[in-house]
Amino acid sequence: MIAASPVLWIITAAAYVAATAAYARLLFGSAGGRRPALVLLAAALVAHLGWLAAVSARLGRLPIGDAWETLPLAGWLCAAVCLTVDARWRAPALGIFAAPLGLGSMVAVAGYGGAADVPASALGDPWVQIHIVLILIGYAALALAFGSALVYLVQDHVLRTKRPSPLSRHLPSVQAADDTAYRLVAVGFPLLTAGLIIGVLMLQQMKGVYWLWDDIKLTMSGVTWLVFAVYLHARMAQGWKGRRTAVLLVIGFVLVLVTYLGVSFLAPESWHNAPFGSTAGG
Amino acid sequence: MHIIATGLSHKTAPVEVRERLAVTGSQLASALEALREQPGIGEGVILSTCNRTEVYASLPSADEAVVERFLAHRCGLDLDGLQPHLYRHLDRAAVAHLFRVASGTDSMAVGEYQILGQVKQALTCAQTQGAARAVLGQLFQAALAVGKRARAETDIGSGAFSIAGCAVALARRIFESLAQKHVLILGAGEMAEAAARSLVSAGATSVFVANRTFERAQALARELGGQAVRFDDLESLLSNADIVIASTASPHAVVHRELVARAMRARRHTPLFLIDIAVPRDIEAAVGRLDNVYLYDIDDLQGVVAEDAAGRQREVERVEAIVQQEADRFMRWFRSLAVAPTIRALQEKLETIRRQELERASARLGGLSEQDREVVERLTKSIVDKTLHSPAIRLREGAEAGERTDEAAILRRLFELEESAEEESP
Repeated sequence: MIAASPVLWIITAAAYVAATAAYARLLFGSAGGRRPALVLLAAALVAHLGWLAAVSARLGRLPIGDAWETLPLAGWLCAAVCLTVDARWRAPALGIFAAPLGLGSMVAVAGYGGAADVPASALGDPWVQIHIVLILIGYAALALAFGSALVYLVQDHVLRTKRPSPLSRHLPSVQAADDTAYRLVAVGFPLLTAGLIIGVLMLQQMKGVYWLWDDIKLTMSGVTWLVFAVYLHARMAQGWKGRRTAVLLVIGFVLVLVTYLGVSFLAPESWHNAPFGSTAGG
Repeated sequence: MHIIATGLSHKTAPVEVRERLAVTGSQLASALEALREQPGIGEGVILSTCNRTEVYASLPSADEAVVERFLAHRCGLDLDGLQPHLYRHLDRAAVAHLFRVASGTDSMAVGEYQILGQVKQALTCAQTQGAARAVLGQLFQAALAVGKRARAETDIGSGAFSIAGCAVALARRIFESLAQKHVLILGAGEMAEAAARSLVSAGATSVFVANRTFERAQALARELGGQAVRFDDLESLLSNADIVIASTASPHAVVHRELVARAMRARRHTPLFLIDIAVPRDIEAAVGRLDNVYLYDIDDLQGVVAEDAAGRQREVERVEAIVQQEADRFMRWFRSLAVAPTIRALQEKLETIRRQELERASARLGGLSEQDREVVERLTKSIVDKTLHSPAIRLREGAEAGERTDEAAILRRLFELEESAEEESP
């Protein structure tokens, strides 16, 4: 996949490394440096997007053929959501996850040639693309919410052991981590829902039913969706915050991983794994 | 001329004595006036906070007793009773002491930021009254700069070194921002007060004080610029406060787990920070295990502070190095002041000679054009300036170094300059 544009790939990788350094300096170093960190991350995102465009041009379609091929796009989405939340609500701890995530997603496909046997016609349908991209953005936001929940759990633990280490001084406050997680879910959940609804409607068109009860991927997607719905309800209706909601987010993230990656490997015979009839698919 | 600093602080006097000497805002103006009426006092500044009351004054002679008598008279205490609590610093020691105070290393809450504002207020009031002029004005401005420098170049202000600072540091780890947060004090006490003050300095919006005796709550609320509330409905008080400082004299816990659990539901689980500095404890230990509730008792707080006793010592030493350096710088300036009148007198004398000679000569130089007159004028000015140049510099240098203290007197004798009032050099 790198072959699509090695130059852009290298520029992107370098920009992500620089952005990581800038955020590290912001969090652990002296005051100031917020603007350079934001700018570097934005620049890396632009370069990354350029590379994705080059890959798409070469493939003749979006790079969403299978779970592995989709990684760089997923990484870009994660980094983009991080940048948005940080720029809007000031969450520098997210920024330091963003750049490594973007970089990691690019490095992961370093030796990968692209998805095999995916009929171009299938992925050419705009609704399929929208379905996939919406769900990806949703997953990205939810993955970051998990990251934020982790930060919350660490800071909460440190506070309860009554021995605040100097390191935790640089982490966000428990309230900030918890609120950031909530904002991320508030952004990601509607997008995930929209993507799932489109998927359900497409399924209706293709098979005449709205759901397949014996399809593992659909079931897992449903369970994942439900967990986040419970989180949002608990938070919005009853003001639940803190450890119990953080645990929900951890469970939700594990489910996201299983749904996104696990099903392809664990239950390759399920319908959703190859809805258009090929052996590969996501 | 000398600078003296006299006063008492939490290190030398208990709160009962400090209370007698404290000068509140409205009394400051009249106290300064009374100070300046004392014989021999040139300039004066009074610094009075909950931790200390100090008088800084400039005097022609090093007569500390004047200020001590003034203080004793003000508080109505017998001088013998007051003296064991007072400290006195002279000249460089006084300068270093003020710099230390401004840096926060002399405060009960080491590294606190509030003292800087209090020093500034003391200066402003004295300047408005004309009590602080060249010398003390410069001294206090320098102190403010040193206070800022100490906090910028060391970690003294990081809050890790005192209970109150620790409370602020912990609050920052809990809340996204301290703005719009409400502080509630249950009971009373110096430490509770100090913690509340630090939290407000750090941005907390309001302070509520609850006490079984409403009058005590009102008194403390007034001190802190907050509001007194009734001790009755604890659950409602807890639902509205974000940071609670418990410091009652109750022999049993007054805040129980069920109560806090209900309050948490009422406040929709927004984090709650409980600081229990009472002994015996006011808050049941089980409360600390609730979700979104963070409970620190006095042992926990002291543990956090003690963890870094070595760090505190290190930062205090670094601040001390800065204080000594700045004190040297100030003293150089101060000593040069002593020779300024002499230099001015010499300047005036030479200028007088110049003008007189020029007048006498212009009668005989009648045929000069305007231009030529200017040339002559500039010529004479230049001779005077160049003649004055090296004595002025050498005199100032010698004074700053604290050496050659008789040079000014010698100059006056040789040039037959008049004596002026501010002659004695420290």
